[in-house]
Amino acid sequence: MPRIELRNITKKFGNFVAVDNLSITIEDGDFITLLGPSGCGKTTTLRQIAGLEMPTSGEILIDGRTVFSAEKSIDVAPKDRGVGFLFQSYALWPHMTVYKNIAFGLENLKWPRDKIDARVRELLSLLKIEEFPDRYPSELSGGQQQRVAIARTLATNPRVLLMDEPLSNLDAKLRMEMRAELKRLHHETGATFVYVTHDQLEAMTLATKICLLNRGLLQQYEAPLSVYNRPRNVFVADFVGNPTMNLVEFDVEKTEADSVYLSRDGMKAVFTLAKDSGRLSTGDSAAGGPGASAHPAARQGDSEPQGTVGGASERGDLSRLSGRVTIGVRPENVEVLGVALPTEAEGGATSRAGKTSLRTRVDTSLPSGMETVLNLRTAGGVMLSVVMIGSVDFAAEEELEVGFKPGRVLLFDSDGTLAASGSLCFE
Amino acid sequence: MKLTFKLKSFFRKPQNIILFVVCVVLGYLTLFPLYSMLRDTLTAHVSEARRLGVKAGSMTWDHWKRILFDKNSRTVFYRPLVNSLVTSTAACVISIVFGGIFAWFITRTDLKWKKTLSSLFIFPYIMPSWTLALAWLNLFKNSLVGGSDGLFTAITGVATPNWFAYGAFPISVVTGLHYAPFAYIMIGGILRNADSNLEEAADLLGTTRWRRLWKITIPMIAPAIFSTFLLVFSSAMSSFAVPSFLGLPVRYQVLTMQLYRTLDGVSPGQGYAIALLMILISVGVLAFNQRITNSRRNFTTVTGKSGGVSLVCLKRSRGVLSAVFLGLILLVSVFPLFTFALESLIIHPGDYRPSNFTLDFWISRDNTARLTTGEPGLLLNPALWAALWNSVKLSVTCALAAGTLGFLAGYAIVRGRGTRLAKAVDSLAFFPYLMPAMAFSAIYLSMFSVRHLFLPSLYGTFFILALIGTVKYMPFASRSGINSMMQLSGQIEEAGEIIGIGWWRRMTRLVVPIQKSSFVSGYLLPFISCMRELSLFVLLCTPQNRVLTTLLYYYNEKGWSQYSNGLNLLIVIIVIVVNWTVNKTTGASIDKGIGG
Repeated sequence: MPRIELRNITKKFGNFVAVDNLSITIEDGDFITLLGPSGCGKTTTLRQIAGLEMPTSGEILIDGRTVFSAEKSIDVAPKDRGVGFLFQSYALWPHMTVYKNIAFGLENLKWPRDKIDARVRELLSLLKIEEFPDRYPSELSGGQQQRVAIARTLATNPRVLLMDEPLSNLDAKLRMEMRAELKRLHHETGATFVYVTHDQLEAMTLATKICLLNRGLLQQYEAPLSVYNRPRNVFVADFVGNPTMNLVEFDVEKTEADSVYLSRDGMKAVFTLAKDSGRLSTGDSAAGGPGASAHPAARQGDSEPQGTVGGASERGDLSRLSGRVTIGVRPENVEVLGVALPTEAEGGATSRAGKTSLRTRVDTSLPSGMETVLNLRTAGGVMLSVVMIGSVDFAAEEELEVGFKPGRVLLFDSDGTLAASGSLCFE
Repeated sequence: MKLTFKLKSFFRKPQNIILFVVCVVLGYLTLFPLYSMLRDTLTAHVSEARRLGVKAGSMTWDHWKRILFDKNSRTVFYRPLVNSLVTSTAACVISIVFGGIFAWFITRTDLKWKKTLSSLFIFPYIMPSWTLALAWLNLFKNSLVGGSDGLFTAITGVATPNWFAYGAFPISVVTGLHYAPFAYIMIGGILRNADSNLEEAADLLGTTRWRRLWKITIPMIAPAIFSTFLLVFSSAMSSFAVPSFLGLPVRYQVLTMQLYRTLDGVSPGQGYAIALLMILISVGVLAFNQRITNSRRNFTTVTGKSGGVSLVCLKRSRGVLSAVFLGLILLVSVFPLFTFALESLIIHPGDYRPSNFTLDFWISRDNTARLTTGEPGLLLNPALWAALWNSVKLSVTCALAAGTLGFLAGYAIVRGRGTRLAKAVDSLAFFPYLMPAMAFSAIYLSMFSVRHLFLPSLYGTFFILALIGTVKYMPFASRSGINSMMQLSGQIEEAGEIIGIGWWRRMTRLVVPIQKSSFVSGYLLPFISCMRELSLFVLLCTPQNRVLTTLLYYYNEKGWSQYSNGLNLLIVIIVIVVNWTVNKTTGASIDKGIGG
């Protein structure tokens, strides 16, 4: 069965390193998204799997067979790798009808006419474009063209389907529709899907696992909800999620085994390690080891950040932290506790050693009905985005008391690597 | 990575094989001649050996000295150089102004008869370059330098002054008009695609018309202007027929005329030195052009197709302006043909009375009393039919070879974009354009008239004509190939590759059918250019393998103006008919070839 292995793949264009020593394993039947900002090497990676681009070094195995190896001088032609490729621009042949576009590859394989006809009809109905076999691509809408492109790619029954931002040319509504369609196709064909996108929402909703790249380097390779809840570093935290995670830098004042004293611009805070578990459960290893199971998605919802992660978790304490660290909180983990009373003293309600709330002012309030996105400003000038579920609205400059959900605050060390999760209170 | 593996995977890509082959072949056919030229400028020729007091073939600086640092340098080189620069620059200005204004009117106003005007406007470029020169002479020549008066003097009685009839002025005008279609195609191409909103935005901000023209429109089309300048300038510099028709009567010399004199005579070394300097100038203009267009590349992003171009309403002046354009264009495009027909029908030049007319020059069977040439009329003349057959054969061969090679080169250059090899082939394929045709043919003559590597002596063969034509016209085809491949996303082809369509089938079933019209255009331009080429073949043709143009030159030298006019008319008609037929049947056109 098609399991794809990339081993130490590096691709250089002149001096520019497009992909830097990338090693991942894509299990059979996975739906993987290669995610990252433009220029991060995700399309290059996809094209290397297809054989359209040749890696500078490393090995690629598909289905246990080496299709590329710089060391062993192997480079299997794209057509012999058993992969299908869906292009960003669809790349439909404009001078051929829909039928011909789908049939052309099969004719080339010298299939008998009746078998071709049967296969094309099957695909036309699978993709729900039965009405258009005689149209030319220019006579179809964007969504229909996309369907034809998918049908053409599926025609030869590839076991691996590689897709390069296939939905980026569609409008928002069609994109939603095609996403569902792709998930259905993945289920119905049982093929391995590798999907390139720069849209983190697309990656979140489609993938069984996300492979997040930045500047050619692998950032994280895990199930979507793990990536979301336990980003390995500041880049991942910032890239995944919309609105983006609140990331605020602090200087480390003092450390203890289970807490860190932080400060910035006169604002002081204490980060405390999650109480229930000092160590992180090792459900999936952070870098996405080859053994990561394929379909844990249903259970991933439970995997919330707990305690220390990565390098810090091995040592089990926070005392090694120093310098400038970053605190990260997802907008939905910021709770609006209530409207602050004007008479109250600056700094919030529960005043003891660590109070759990913070007084802020509303900068903007963007209600969309199902949820409301708030941009809040603290006394120190820090901007916080907050997502509140439900139809609520606030006036600008209204004062709000907010707190962070305990155990849901992330701490990144001075390198930007996730060090721990826990709670935050203020002095 | 092992070297063999690197090589194997390099050559597994078809574009790399093409690039490699083209690089080797073109290197041999263009760089080697260049080297031979350079060597010849430093070698004493057999005929010079005695004068120089050295053995033939030994090294000498004499040629360069004579051209650059001799008391005769002024007449041999500097004066013609200045004349060449002046006429070429003036021709550029004329073609850009005339073509640019016409392009603006066609794309941006509600001018009448646009289709007719636009196809008539291309005519001068389709016709041989000397067509307009001959027409100018037919119309404006005077009897001051000997010979008869032209039609203008015959009708009005006003004698034309020499500066108007001959020399710098008519050379610039005629060359400028001949290349105005270039400017029209390139500037029009940008204006057609550019969003008129850009200009309208300026309008809304209250910009005055003139300011708008200077600040928005001209900068927008600047890249096209520079490209036109490059193309016209190098073509004008290396044009031979026009200056020799219009300059010789008053001894107005340009570089190509010096080239012909020295190459055909006793001191080819001097000629090659002149040719090298001309190439140097062209390369300089090219480099300048590339620097400018590179730093202004951001303008080309403007050319994305826009929604709608709103046309300027010419209101009351619409009819008048349309008529003026029609008149001008008819004068340049159609009137010359009329004068050729006329001149081929009169017995004594300069005499336009009805009694002086005859069809004998076309259809008389043999030497009648009226014909003093001893030649049968054109249509019954075996020399003409032989030359016609030879011309067609040659043009078809060159078109097929140059078109195919050029398309493949263009394909490979675009597919291999960014690699050093692709860049090298790109420049190599354009290089023949910068070589003055006359010098190019002279060096081929000296290279291939003896056994050369594996090639036997080619002098006087059809093959050498086909070879030089193919190399010389490849730039047209490779440009059009590059243009059309740039428009075709690489993914179109990769989509075929990944499902196992082989390269040959990808080309024949996908790439070529999709780009059919620009593909054919890549053949059309070499065909037309070859049909009307003179300076490239004039040294290489022997009486046995004359083509139409060298036959024309022969008639002209003999002073049989009826024959040369009639033959010219025939060439123009053939070229126009072929162009029209190809255009109607395949949609190809020379504007696609030039790549607006």
